[in-house]
Amino acid sequence: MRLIFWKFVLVALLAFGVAAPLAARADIVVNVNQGVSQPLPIAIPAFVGKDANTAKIGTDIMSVITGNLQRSGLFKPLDPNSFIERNLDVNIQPTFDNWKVLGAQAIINGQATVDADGRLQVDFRLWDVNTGQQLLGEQFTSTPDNWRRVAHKISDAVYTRLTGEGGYFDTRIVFVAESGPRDHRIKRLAIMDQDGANPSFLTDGSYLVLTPRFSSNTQEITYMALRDTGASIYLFNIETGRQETIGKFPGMVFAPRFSPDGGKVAFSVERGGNTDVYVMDLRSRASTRLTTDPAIDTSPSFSPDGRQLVFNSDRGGSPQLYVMNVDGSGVHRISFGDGRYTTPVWSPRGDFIAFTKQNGQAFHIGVMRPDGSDERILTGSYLDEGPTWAPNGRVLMFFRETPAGGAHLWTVDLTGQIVQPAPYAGQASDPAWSPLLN
Amino acid sequence: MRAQRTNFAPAMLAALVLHAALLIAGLIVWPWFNTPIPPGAVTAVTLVAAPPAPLRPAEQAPEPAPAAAPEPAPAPVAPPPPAPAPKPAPPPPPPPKPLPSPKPPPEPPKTKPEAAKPAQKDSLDLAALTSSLDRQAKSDARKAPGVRGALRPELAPVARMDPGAVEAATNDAAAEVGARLNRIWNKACGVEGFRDIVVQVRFNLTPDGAVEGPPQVLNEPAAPTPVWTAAKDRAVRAVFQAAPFRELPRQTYSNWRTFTAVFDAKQACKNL
Repeated sequence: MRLIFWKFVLVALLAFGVAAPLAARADIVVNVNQGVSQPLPIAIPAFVGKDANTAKIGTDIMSVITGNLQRSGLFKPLDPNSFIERNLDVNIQPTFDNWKVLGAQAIINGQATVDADGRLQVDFRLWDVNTGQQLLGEQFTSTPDNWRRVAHKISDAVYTRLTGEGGYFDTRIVFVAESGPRDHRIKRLAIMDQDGANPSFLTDGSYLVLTPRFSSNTQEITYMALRDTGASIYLFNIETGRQETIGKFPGMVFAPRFSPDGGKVAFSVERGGNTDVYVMDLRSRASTRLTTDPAIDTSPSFSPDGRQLVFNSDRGGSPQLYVMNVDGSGVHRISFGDGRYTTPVWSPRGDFIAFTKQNGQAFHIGVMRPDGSDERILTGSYLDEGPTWAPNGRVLMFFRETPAGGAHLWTVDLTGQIVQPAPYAGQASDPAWSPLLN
Repeated sequence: MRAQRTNFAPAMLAALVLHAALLIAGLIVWPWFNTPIPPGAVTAVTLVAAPPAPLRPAEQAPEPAPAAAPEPAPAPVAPPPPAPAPKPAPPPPPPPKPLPSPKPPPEPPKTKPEAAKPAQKDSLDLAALTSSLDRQAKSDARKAPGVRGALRPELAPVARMDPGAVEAATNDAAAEVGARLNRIWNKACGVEGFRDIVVQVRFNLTPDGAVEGPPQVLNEPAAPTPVWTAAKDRAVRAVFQAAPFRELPRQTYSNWRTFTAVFDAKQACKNL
């Protein structure tokens, strides 16, 4: 027995000795360190419905998802006319070969049903065409007239699964809708879904509105209203319609912005040619002056952790960006490039500060790290201004004005490679992106 | 001898019990492959005040779209007439649900009784096998002192290539596959955290250059983040998209069968 055992060991060792070098030689290591950035081809057939009503909802949902993913610039929805398989049953795996030949790398299929109680139920699945794996499978319920929200939520889920970062489709934009001749401009507060749907006015245009800003975690905005009686800062709850001013200040108040927890508002007050940054606790209504420099200090924006503020000041001779602690201490300059830096906005994920930069005759939207490093110019035109972050911190909306035409809303992604008009063709400025809806 | 037999009895018994359990488990699991795929998490969507409430300063809010507002909804895709089900014209749905090969469970019970054969030591001449291997190893060592060469001819059609040729074939294959993957890999440098990720994917190729079997991710963390998972999917997707690598010469197949691709976002996103 002992002899057999040792022979066994010998055979094993010999086998290993022969196989190991083969295995080692067989593995060729390849470094992939370049790559490309291209939109992902994705197939989105119309969601199946059992009757004409649900079939229409299914088609509408498909259209909204297609539009969302396409506008993100990261996806390339394929032409539905090219599809070999249609009416995909959500409970059956697609035949992946039929999608591979089209170049699709992912498929979204789903179905819409309305139950006896009138509730809309939408099921969908996301598939990887190459591996045949289901990447997502979810079900949403709502009322049938709420199908658009369902489509946005599906878009967010798909976006998150395929990119790894949070979505931003189930959101809204508040902005200043502009109309009328330049010398009699009518500026109304307006709101729309991020895809341009459901636009409506929130004010009637009898007074000017400026710089609307969303709270980062509630459906509440703050904005500046300029009437014959003076300027005021308002808080406006979009869900309830409740609106109130934060109080009267000697001088002009402007550029309000919420703290991340929504409990404070930072703003500027101009008095006697000097503009400083203040912060108000919304519960106690007590305000604190944070800057005392004789220069113009304005456009405060909180860091996502609420501990710091970035603002712009011309204390150094031209408008530049400065960061300070939330109590006003530790002021230090972070921008040192040529040009004038204004309207800084801290990214919700904290890694960048977006700004408007005027350099020569051109205006740019750019970003830099909170310490001022890694400055990147993302856009440039006759006038680009007023960036606002999508809640995932990847996309910015701003307004662009041309010498001939009025102002329009545009978007740009963090790489600066995807610049496109926002889906609202009217004249508009000062956009503010909402957080994700609940 | 009697003592030996009694030593094996518990092992035999255990093997039989285990295989019976495996068979039963297989029978239990089998129906699952035919049932519809269960849906995932249920998420209720609640409507958040679609119409904005009226505003205090005397004005009605929800006017749908004023003069300036154009197309409220996108609707880019042609809305086909809502004809839902009645179009099973191309009925390719031969529901390919069952993923695994149909009958794996029945086989193991057969193999195990054979596995018990080592007890019949007479049927396997280990001594002969050992000496034969010894002899072959010695003769190989004598023939080609520097090269440990392939023992199995089917793995080495151009066998006995000199080391330089082997290295050249390997380098060519690496260059070809690397160039293709670099052209295809869809990186996502704008995603927070992506540029810190390195994904190692091992995959085998057939002699035709197609991907053989599922690629294997070598360095997946125990609790991958969503960004990591998406980055991993991108890497695996690149392997499938880049294949088949038809340019790889069949005659040197044994030299380029298995690859480990290192998708290095740190490098790829350095200047972005």
